[in-house]
Amino acid sequence: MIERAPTPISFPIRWFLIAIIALALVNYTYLILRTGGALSENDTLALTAAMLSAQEAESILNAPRPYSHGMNYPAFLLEFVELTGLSVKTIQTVILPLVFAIFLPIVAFVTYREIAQSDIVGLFAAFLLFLQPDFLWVTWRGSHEKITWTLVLVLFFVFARTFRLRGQLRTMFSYIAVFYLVALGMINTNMFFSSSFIVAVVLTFLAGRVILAYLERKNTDADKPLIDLHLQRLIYIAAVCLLLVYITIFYLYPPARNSLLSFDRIFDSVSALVFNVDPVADSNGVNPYSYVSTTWISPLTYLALTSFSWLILGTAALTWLVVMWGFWRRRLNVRQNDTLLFLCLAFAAFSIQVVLSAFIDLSGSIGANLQVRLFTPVMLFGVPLAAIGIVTLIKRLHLPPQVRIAAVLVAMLAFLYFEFAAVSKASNEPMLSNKWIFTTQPEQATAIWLHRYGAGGTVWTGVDERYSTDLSVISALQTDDVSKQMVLYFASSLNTDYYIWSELERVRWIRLNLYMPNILLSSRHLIYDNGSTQIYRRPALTIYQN
Amino acid sequence: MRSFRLSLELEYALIALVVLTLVISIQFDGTSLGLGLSVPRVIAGILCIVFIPGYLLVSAFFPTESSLNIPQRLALSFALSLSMPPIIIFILDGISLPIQLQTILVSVTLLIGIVGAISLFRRWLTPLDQRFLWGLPPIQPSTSRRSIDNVLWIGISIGALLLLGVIGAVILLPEPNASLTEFYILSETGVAASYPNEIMPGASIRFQIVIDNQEAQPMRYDLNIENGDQTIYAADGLEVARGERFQRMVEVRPVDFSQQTLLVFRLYRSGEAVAYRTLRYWIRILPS
Repeated sequence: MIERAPTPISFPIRWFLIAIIALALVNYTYLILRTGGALSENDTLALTAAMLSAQEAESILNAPRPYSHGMNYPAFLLEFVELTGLSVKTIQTVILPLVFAIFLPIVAFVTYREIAQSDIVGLFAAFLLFLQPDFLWVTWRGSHEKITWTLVLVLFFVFARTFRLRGQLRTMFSYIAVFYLVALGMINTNMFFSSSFIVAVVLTFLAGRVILAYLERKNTDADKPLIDLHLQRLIYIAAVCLLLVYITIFYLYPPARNSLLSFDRIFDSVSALVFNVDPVADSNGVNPYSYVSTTWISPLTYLALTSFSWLILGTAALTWLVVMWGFWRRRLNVRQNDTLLFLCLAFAAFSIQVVLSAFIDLSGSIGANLQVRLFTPVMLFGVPLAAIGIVTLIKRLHLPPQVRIAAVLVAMLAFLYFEFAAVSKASNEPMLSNKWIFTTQPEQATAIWLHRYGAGGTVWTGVDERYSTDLSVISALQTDDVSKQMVLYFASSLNTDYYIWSELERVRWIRLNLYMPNILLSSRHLIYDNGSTQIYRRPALTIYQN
Repeated sequence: MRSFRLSLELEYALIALVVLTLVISIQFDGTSLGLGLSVPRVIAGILCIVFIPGYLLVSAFFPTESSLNIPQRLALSFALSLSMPPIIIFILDGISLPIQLQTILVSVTLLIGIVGAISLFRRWLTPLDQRFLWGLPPIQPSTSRRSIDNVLWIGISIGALLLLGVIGAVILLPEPNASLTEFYILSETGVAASYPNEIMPGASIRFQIVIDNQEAQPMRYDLNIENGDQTIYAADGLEVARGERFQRMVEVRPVDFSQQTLLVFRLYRSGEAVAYRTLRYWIRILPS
């Protein structure tokens, strides 16, 4: 499948790698500038609030508002804030995306190169990864996912690397130590994802055993392929990681145990561990499958912006079929293509998890966004498979020079389009998306004012969580005392003490064809105006109201 | 074949310099460029969090050149650095030390010191011809590839400079304020609650009126409070310097004795006929 010819010396690997880093930097810089650094998003809020809570309490383990899925990211943020002296907002929205833009392409390249055993495939796969909108989104926002996926990639790099070690016991031990240090980091970043990762590892092992049993059924040699031994190691890895997850949840990080025990049913707890469900999503009752039609100006727009992802998934699936058929028909040798088989098994394992989670989503038994959470790992392993398929196809096609020029032109145009689609989708481009993820400066000034002069109580913030997210961050920045913080409502919960109405919100209501809340607001006191944003207060109806 | 190699001593001296820069800039609260922010502290801080601990650990595990190439070393260094915070936190929280600037600084410095010493020792023991040392590849002789390299180099350099400019601007420049004037009313106690709700006909009520000038320039405002068709309060030519706040306790007596009467607060930029900001307040007039 992959030609193992060494890369020509004249091939400028380092320049291509730098070009991919430049692409990542351009993408993240665009995303930062597009939102003006005023990203207003749930995960960013949750982790910022967890870090501020830890900073206030001077403890991660005893913080009043911990991030229950893992302490690595809040701890990392806290270190960053303290040592650099920068504000958490600047770090979350500007510095970290740019730092990851430099290192993440290198991580992706070395992992894919190791799995594919090809510089060109490694570079091409890393390049494709930074055109994938969902990956850009999860690694740009202030979420733990930028660390999680970096560590997942490195775990696979280290594991694939050990395939090449024969008789080098000392080096093997070094890799094993590195592997479990990184695994510990991943578990502490998000233990619910880690547990679902372990399930994927077990699935990879089981699928590998079945396939190898079939392929090697007529092999009477005592000498088994090394991949068989490596796959056996997966079960040890799963066991050790499971033990680490157990120790972390039940002994080292109590908030995770509390989160797990908060599920009402055993089934929900098990599902949380297997599928990485977020219990918060459950309470919102959002259906991600109908989400598309309301959050984008049209389903066609969504399809156009995500076409790259579907194309990659389709190509990866096709490559997977061809490769597995090759193994089945013995055109591909397991001994020479062990990492390729491993890649196919991992892709299949994560895909199975996504399919199962989609069924669970639709059954409504637990949370509503499992497939969204598990989509990224499928893409992580789909991208190198697609790269292998495309590179192999290009090498086998012997196009005449004129057609080759035309193909290059088409590829360049496709790149420009997919780049536009990637940053538009990742930034929830306001011209195309109904789900806006930024706030304006007057809105931020209003939020600060409300926390300075507001007397607690309830606040209505608009049609969705866009502004309440920002207000919550400011609330967390102003005070860590939960009792002094305001209770925020949006959508139809109109019976509140304060109402915030902004020019931006008005534009959104026009976009969504909603009736303006003019009648409601006209009977309220208008107590604050900064030109773009206003605050209304409900009149006291009894002498007991203030 | 490498044309230039960084010696082990120089490499560890550079790492020590970065750590020392961090410690000094924190201990002396150094500010540079008069912007209230220590640029060396930011750079040294980032390196000490996302790269140096992992790099030293990788050097300790893989002291030989052949074990890993440079991109692999960079990738592992980054990942291992990202895995370190929980270990530090477990230790600090475990021995009941407060997690604050000084304890984090000491623990990170100690971690770098210990891992650095181990890695230095391991690399020192490795024979020189097998030891990993940073190096630059030799300059390639002129080939047809060179022009492509030059174009790429120029393009990437321009891109990198632009991006560094953006990053520098974001870090160093204060956030630009939107041109806005905040106009608001507070109750007598200075909060946005407990406002007067009802009064007897002819009685007066008191508000605190605040004008917060966040415009890019000093402003001159006119203030009117209207009730019914009449202006019941006026204050013209209120000078408010940039970034300053005008605050005044105002007592007004409504003249419209309808059951529900509306007070309208209009703020004008001096000389303009259209209100710049508007507030309104409903008052219930009790039967006499």
